[in-house]
Amino acid sequence: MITVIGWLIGLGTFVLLAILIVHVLLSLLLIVPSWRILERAGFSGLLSLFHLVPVVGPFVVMAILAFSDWPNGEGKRVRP
Amino acid sequence: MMGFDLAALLGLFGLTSAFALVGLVLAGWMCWRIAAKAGLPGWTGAGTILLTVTGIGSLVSLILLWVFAFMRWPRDGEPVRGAAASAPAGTTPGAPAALPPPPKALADRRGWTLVGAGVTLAFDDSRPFYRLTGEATGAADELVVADPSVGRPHARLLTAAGEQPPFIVVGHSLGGSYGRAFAATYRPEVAGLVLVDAFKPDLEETWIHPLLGPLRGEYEARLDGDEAPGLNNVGDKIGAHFCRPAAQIA
Repeated sequence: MITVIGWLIGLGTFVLLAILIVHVLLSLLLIVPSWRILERAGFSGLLSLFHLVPVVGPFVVMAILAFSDWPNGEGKRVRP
Repeated sequence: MMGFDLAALLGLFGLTSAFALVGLVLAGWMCWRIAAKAGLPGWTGAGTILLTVTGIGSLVSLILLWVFAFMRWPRDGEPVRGAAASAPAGTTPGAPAALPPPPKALADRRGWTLVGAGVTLAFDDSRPFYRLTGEATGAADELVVADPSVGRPHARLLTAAGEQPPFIVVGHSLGGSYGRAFAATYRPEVAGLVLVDAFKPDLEETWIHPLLGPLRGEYEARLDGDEAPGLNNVGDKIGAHFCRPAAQIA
């Protein structure tokens, strides 16, 4: 019985680790371009690390870019 | 019991769908604004999000995100006038003509535009004059330029205004210190330097250096060994030091 529980814990840990690694790798695909976009807009690239937060992270990054004034200036299309 | 399970399943499905729909609309709206801020049509951003509804669309959206990050945005404007290719013969690499324009927004997030042939800035909803300064001030008519290189903000403004060397730099008071730094940095492009009631170097130690903050090191490096007469005037006098013969200035 203990052996089975041990195997289950080991398997669960392995699965969680795999999910974590895949999540970080997929997040990197978003973090790298977001980092550059944020820096070009005048924000700190570190804000792109919000992508590591599951589900809501990308929305946070998008909201920062969409609803904040860009320190480096914005295009004329958003001006009234 | 079966009917209850089915209703719960349908409810969960509906709730999930509702959240997904709200997320989709929200993301589309935000991407519309982001694309517009970069100078692109807003529908390009919203369309990218809508692509995710399709099966392969997520991959396309990811590719478009990378393209957007590294492409040239219309907001960045046209290339600087008088770029290195058209710079006059004899100018050195890194001279004002090769520098990019300064950011199109002030510290308080207001935008500005260059007007006329000279270096004059027009602010939105403010007086059409400015004073360039490296100090941390908040006055409406002061342009605070945070730049790692002393003199470069001035050079970039000159470049953005389409001005071509040789320049005669006139600096008053604290501006004299900036003028000295500018002239030392862009010596081949500066025909003359006029200091009006400017600071003497030994007074700079007390008054100027604290104002320069992190720029101090580079400022001192630019002026290292520069002891030419006329550069050190102080008081009510007007000092002048010309790097070139007067005949070349005209």
